[in-house]
Amino acid sequence: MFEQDDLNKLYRFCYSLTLDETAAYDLLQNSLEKFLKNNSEKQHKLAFMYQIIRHQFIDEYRKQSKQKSEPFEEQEYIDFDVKTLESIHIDEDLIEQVLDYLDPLEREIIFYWAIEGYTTQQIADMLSMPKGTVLSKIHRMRQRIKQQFPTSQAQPSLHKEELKE
Amino acid sequence: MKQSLKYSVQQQLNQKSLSTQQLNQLLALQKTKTTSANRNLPWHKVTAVASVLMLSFILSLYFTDNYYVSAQLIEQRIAEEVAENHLKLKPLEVNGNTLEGISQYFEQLAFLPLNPTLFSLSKQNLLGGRYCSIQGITALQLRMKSSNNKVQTLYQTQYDKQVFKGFPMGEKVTVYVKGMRVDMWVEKDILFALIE
Repeated sequence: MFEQDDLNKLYRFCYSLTLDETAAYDLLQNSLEKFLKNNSEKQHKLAFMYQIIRHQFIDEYRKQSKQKSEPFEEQEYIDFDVKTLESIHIDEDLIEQVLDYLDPLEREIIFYWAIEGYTTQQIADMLSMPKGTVLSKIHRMRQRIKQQFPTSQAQPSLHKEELKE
Repeated sequence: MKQSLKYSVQQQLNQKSLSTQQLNQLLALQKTKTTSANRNLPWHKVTAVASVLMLSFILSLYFTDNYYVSAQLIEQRIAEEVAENHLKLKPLEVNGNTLEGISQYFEQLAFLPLNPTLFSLSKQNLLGGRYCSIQGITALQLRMKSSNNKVQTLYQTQYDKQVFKGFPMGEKVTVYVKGMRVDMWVEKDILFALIE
């Protein structure tokens, strides 16, 4: 059974994917039903629920809007990890717009990084992606935020230290 | 005011929480599903386990029965078989009052009929003999009439080590079957069974 704290955490995850409170609740409820149907005795319940929510979200929402797939060179960005996002500073009023600007996968990465405190490798495991792919996405996300929100600041001094994972 | 992206995300998302009603619904959902899951046993698993147990039980009975049969003393099995034959008193195939006289008839035997030392045929009133089998091995049965007018049958067959495995060697064994006494022994590689 998930207690109140876990349910709220899962709800926040759903919200970070949908950016809509009603949709987030629906997503959570559907996923919870799926979890309870077959997997209620899993050991790592929370991590497993993240996976269910993710797949449920892909089924329900993402296929409605075509995801743009951008080619990228993974090796080119291999020096970046999720902590490089910590160099970004934004106006506090802009966070909603930033989240809205990002696509669901980017928000999922943001959630694992900011709320769960996962490392790049852990995020890659959660997303079932190669670490290089996640690094590329982080790099691109960082670039996009900087371009779209010019007032945001990247602090290079922090960046070098954060590279060491 | 500028804040780190991480802090801003945390602040933004942590503001989001389920309403009391939503929370109660989800807690109730879990409770309902858990209860019904407990109530609705996975019958396919239960059935599978029950089948395995049943099969084990049947197999154990089968093997116990077979074990009993195989563990049943060979002399007991021989005694029961010859007793059964003795009661039928099937017609003799050859008549004669000496073993030598009737032995020629039994040319299909894989052994030479013997005059045992533990039982003197010469003192008996031999009537004749017929083919039979003991535990699937071709045998000879000799019918006699004792001095007190009782019919006796002496069986003899080759001692097959596989078939008669476990038979006590070097001693006469006596088993009673259906009120009849059966004496059995092995002599010169021939198994004898005498019943009256």
